Amino acid sequence: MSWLSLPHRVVQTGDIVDGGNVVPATTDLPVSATVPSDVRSGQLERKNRMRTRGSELLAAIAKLDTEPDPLARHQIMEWIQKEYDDRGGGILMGLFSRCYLGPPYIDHAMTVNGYICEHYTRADEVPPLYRGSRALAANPAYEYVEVYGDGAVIPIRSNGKP
Amino acid sequence: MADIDINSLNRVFDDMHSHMSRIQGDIEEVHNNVGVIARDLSTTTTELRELRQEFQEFVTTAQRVANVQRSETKLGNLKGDLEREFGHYSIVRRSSIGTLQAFDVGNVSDKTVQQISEELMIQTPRYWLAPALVGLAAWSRDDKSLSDKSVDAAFSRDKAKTSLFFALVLRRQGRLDAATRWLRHYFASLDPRNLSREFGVVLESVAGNAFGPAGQELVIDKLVEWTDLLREDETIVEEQVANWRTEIAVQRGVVNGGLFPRMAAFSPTWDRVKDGLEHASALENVRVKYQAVFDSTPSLKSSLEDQMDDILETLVTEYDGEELPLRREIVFHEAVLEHDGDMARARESADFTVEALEEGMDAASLVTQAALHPDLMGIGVATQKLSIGAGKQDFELATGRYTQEYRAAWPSSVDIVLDSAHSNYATALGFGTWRSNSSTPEAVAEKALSAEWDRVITGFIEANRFKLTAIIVPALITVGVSLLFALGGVLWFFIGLVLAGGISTLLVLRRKRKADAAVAEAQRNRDAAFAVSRDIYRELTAEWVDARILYSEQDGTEADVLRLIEAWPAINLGKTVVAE
Repeated sequence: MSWLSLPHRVVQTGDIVDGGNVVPATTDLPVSATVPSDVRSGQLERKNRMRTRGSELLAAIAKLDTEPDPLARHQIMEWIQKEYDDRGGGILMGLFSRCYLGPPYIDHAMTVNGYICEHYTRADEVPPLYRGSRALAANPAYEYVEVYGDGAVIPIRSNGKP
Repeated sequence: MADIDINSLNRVFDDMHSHMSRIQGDIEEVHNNVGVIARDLSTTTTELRELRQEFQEFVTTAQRVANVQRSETKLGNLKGDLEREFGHYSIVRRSSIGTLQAFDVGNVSDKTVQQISEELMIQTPRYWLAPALVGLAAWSRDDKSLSDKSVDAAFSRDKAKTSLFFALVLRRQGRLDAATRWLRHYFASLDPRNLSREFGVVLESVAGNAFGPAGQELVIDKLVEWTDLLREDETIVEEQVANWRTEIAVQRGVVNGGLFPRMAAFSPTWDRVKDGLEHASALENVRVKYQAVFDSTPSLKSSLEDQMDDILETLVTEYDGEELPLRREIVFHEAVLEHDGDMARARESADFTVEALEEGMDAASLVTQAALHPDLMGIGVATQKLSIGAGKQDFELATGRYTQEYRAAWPSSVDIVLDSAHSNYATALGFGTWRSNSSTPEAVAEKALSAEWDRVITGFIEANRFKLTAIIVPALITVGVSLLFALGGVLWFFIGLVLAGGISTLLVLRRKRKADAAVAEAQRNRDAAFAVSRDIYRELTAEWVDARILYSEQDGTEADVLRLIEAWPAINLGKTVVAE
């Protein structure tokens, strides 16, 4: 990955002053010398998750709920999965959102890589993975909630911002 | 066997009958009194509960008043200490600005300036500004050697402040090149991960374009370089977001349980509801606070000299590290006053505010502190606006996180628990515990509550009704007494039987009447008891509806806060200012 090789500047304390001219106390060091690689990849994933989701992605996720054709639904899910893979935000376990099917269903979970969409009624217990998402999905401020492999729960607003 | 006098026996029976009637009358009276006491006791229980609540409120209020009084006294003492310990600095501070203004007017002789500055040098040991003032005085009368010596002394006492002071003084006197050189000196002494608080003056100068074009470019290049560099570090960015998050959290209001009395008393979910409402209430307060900053127009100074004097005054008054321990204590006691003696809230608020009085912050944190605590950083509203613009991403992210946290904890329904003490009827009739939830349809819940009352009443009747077993003991006593009397002969046996049998029958009848009355009373009260419980249930569910409406109104304010942040001019640390 090309971004890893970019040099980053790190600060060293105690700048040097030479005849009134300041010699910058910064030294170019490759980032790999200062931060372990797994921390860096985690940082990058978290940074990527903060990027705004495109309107196409939001429309595709909204369409899943109303798409009657199983084949078309499968295709949409495949597309969504690819979008998330390309975003580089880490392993997406599933999406959770309010359900527009109407009573008795109130919300549903989509396990993107398993191509499964499950609807739940108010009385249903949601799987443990989505337990923290239910109250968020009920809030009109969010369109849906992303649940990641590292346990992060990120609600997405209607403008695509996390 | 002796003859029995029938007449005397009749008299004995009459006497006994009158005694028994009297006893029965007394028993009735006692029963009536017991009934009154029972009713009184119910009333007393309610009154006691109210009294307890009022007493607790009184204790809380008294504690808070005491806290406020203590803090007021402490504040006075601390300010006195500050004046006593560092008051002599203020003469030097005033003299430094006074000297510059005297140079402008030219109405003070060099000799006076020299004399005053040298006196102050002696009177304020260790203070960096005193030799700087002597240097200024020497400079005005062209005494290079004394000036150099004094500047060296000031520089050795505080490199950063001395450099910044001379950069600003020279800029004030129109010596742009020399000012920029001092500015370079200043930056040379800095570590972007450990800046002193006086860097606030640099931000203030950037906002006011006070350093002149060359200085401005130098400062902005440095700031941009540092910010880019520091923001590579996720921990530093997280710190800024956390600070903004706390800034939002400390703005939350207090929800009084009196607004939702039924939920506060009968719902175990109340704490979560209260917490959610309080957290959501912060958003409107944040919006109002920052809208005011957004709308404010900084006062314009008529001349560069005035502007520079203000900045110099800030530099010499706001940032002396020796004063910080006292100032931190002052912050805490001011927070106690602000939160009406609520120590927990005061501590939370003060812990957050006092960060602005920390020595040694990274450049990113310093900008955040300038946005959050302009007063403690000694900067004006223009600089605050600039700093908010520089940290608007953090502000936005923090708003999202803050709302996400309390939204995730907001309950979708509330539990309802009516316990054995929820009403006087419940206490009197032995109500157990009835549980329900606001998501259960009202008709279903009320039916269940009614069934519960039926069960309670049935249980009460079963426990209190007259049972045949109640006559066994009196019957045995009658037989026993009769047998004892039988020792005196057959006739005495019959007398004993009549006596003991009569008393036992009366007592049994009395007990039966009492039990029947209690059962009838319970049956009569059943509907009233259910109505009281049902009203509590209905009031509670109505309060839950109100709480949800209030919550969604307050929660919806997030959109306004986000719009405000969106509208805030994005500033890459002063680049906008240069364009202006």
